[in-house]
Amino acid sequence: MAEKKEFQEDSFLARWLEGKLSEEEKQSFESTENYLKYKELIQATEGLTAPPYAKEKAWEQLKEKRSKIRPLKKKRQWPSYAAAAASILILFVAIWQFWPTPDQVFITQKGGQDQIILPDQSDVVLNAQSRLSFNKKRWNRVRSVFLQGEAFFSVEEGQKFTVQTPNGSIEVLGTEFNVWDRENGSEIICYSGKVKITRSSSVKEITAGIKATWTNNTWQMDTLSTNAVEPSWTKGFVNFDGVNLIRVFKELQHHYDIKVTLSGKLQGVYSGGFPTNDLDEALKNITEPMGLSYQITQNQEVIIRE
Amino acid sequence: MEHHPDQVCEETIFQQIFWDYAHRIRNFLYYKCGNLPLAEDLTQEAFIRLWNNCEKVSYPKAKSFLFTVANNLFLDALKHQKVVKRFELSYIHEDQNLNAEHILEGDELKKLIEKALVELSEKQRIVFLLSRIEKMTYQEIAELLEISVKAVEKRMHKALVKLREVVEKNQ
Repeated sequence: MAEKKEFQEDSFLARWLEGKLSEEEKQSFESTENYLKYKELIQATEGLTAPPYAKEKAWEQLKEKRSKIRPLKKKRQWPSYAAAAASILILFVAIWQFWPTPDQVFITQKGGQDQIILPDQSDVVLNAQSRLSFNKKRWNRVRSVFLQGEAFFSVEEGQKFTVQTPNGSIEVLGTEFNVWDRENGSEIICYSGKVKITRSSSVKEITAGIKATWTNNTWQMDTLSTNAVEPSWTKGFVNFDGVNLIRVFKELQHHYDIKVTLSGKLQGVYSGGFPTNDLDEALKNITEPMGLSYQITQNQEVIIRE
Repeated sequence: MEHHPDQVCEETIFQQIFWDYAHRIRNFLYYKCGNLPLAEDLTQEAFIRLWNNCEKVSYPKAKSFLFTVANNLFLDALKHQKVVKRFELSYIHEDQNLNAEHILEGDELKKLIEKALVELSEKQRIVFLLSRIEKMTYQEIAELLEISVKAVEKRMHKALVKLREVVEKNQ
């Protein structure tokens, strides 16, 4: 039997993935014996991700390597006296302008919280196990902070204000918003004004009362179910609205000095909240509605069971 | 917003570029060479070159500069050393910190796919992984690789046919 070519056209599967096949093409493809195999392959690659990347560490290494090299200086063809005069002037300005001042760094431990007033009187509340840094001197030119973890910002009106996070950046002019950015995901809630979020090549703008979630390289937009003007964690209570149980336990680990172990395949979506000053109460709040039980061992390990 | 040509030399801007692109460059190289330590070394090297040339590369050009340098570094590495390819991907909801029992089903097939990726040509593999993992559109991939959308589609198609064949053979 002569071998028949599997596909008429050499970009067929690419078009199939984009949902661009005609109804006819689609039907005849779905009746072939290999269709299910392709479908299975595509499903198995859904949600795949590259190995984790220790970006912070990579940045430190890069800084170290880079410090051994100076950026190349352009050669300018100027009369020597003018160049000399100019360079003295530039030198003074440069010393004054670019004299390195160390970054201000704020780090919160497990269960900690910190309130930071930025040079323009903008207000930041830093949640547990988070890090915020900015440079006072640079502040006059760019309003920009680095954040890892979670923080609530009340930004004074003015020029562009940028929050850099490992997952991307957030730009505002003057507004109130919460940023949660840990591991592979991030979540930004806008409480007033407008917030512009950049994640790799994707840009989104959200307004007050909207929550933008970025996981697995895709966006999800939700409307807040309450009229809250600030996140509840700033008042010692962490709230969740339909959040993966694993994230809830990770969040718990940020607020209490414990290690959570899940026994069995625990999965589910949790809505509710826990206080940040009472571990027993917190565990009850999470486990009871989910039909789970918990046990605290002597070495501060929490075991969760079905 | 104004862009001065030497903005990349400014520490905050350089750091921002690093935060925005380091993982993308790293993944791009990893999909090409299938060797994580090499991909991370070359990523460092690409950023060092950007720093060395920060007065010549304007801010909007930094991204394409990085990808071009990364690609050249990859080709160079290919010439000088034999690279052992191995792909290890994970599902995004797998959680290393909490418990090892959270391993999803479908892991068998994932392993077969990881093995089969080695047998794709580098051109097919990069297109397939940028599309499936980085969720880039064919248009975005075409721009990044400087080829036509049609060429991207062809590579994607070929990659999938090849994957199906190799997975079937190893099953």
